[in-house]
Amino acid sequence: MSGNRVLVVDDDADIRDLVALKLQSAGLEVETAFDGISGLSAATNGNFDAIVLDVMMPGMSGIDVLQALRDSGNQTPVIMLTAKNQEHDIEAGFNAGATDYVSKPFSPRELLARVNSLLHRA
Amino acid sequence: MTLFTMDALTWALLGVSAVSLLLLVAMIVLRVVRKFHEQHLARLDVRVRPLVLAIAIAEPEELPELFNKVRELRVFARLQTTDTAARMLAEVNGESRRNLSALLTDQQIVAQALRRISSVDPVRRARAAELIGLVNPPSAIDVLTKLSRDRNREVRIVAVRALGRTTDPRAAEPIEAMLRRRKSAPAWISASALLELNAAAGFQLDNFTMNRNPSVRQIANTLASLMPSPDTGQLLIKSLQKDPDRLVRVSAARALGRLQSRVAVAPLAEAAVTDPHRSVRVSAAAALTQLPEVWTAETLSTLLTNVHEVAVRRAAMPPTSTWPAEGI
Repeated sequence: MSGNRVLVVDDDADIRDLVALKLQSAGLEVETAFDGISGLSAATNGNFDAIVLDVMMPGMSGIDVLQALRDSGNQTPVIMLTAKNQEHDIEAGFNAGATDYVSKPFSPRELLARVNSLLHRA
Repeated sequence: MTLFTMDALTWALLGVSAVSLLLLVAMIVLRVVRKFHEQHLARLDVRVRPLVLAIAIAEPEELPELFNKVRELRVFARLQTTDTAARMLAEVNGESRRNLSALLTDQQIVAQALRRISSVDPVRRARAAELIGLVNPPSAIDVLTKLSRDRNREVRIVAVRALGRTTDPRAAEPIEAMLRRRKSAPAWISASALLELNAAAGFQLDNFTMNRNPSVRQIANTLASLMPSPDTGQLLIKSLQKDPDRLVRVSAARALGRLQSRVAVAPLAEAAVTDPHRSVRVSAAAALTQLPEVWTAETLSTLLTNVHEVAVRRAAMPPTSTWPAEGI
């Protein structure tokens, strides 16, 4: 899986850095963005193999980012990070074109397994 | 006399000015100290976060060395490490939760929290409850159950939430006890704690059907549909048919719609026509539309044909995409 590039978008620095570190420890190349707008810009301009996208972000939400990406024709696989029991977020994420989702609190190991699974499929 | 008065006035003004000046200086000093403290904490956080992150994703054999690095830190950095770990703990599961909990145990933070449950300060007791719920040491359920009966309402609320976070099935009983007691904590707090706990055995609705508080019976109906057990359908039907409170009957109708059980069709259809309260009739009709069409097509068609009450007919209408032909 080394050489694959993953974008992590989350406004919570703890989560963002934790996910980035876990993915890097598995040999993935990781870029991070701290909000929806910079995440959309990075996803549009960078050539990523997968995106880990938080749903709840101030300003532009993860769902908005995903919708904008899909509207522009970007089909990069996206894993949504949602709060536990937020079925509406999960449904909205899949409707907007999410590939998978992980509920918070989450296991970084499980998230890595899901990212790897997406990269294998791609 | 005038001179004395002038003199006194001057001294009084000087006194007030001096006190004001002192207060101003004190405020400035406090702000500077607070800003310095915040900057210091931010610098410490930057220093220790990589270590906490490394611990969060470490393999078990890597932990002793990383814990040694924490032990070697100076006292403020070590305190910041445990603060950062406690903050992260709420967001993670699996190995990260285990590792961060082990760090807090190693740093005696859990032992300290267990001591603080007897503190006279309710803020300390509440913070202790929060941490104990996240780390879930062996005594967590007993300690949090005790705190769920604390004299302070805020501590009780935090303790119930913490019981939910333990994800330990043994926590279901004390949370349900909280849900039954009127003055312990708001019913919705206990309800969301139960949902967070996601009790594998399902929610035991029969413990709540006789509760004297209608809002508790109402929440219990909703919870039962989200965490059903084998007898949930029958108990909800009984609630729909017999409960004296209309809002409880509304919650039973909605819960039956969510439950997706075929036994609910006939009781819902009956309630849509015969319940004495309009809101229950409407909720029952709406619940029928949530059930699979193969079970309800005939019942809904009969309702739309025979019932003249507009609100019930509207609630019984299928989604706009499948509107029936004119005249039905």
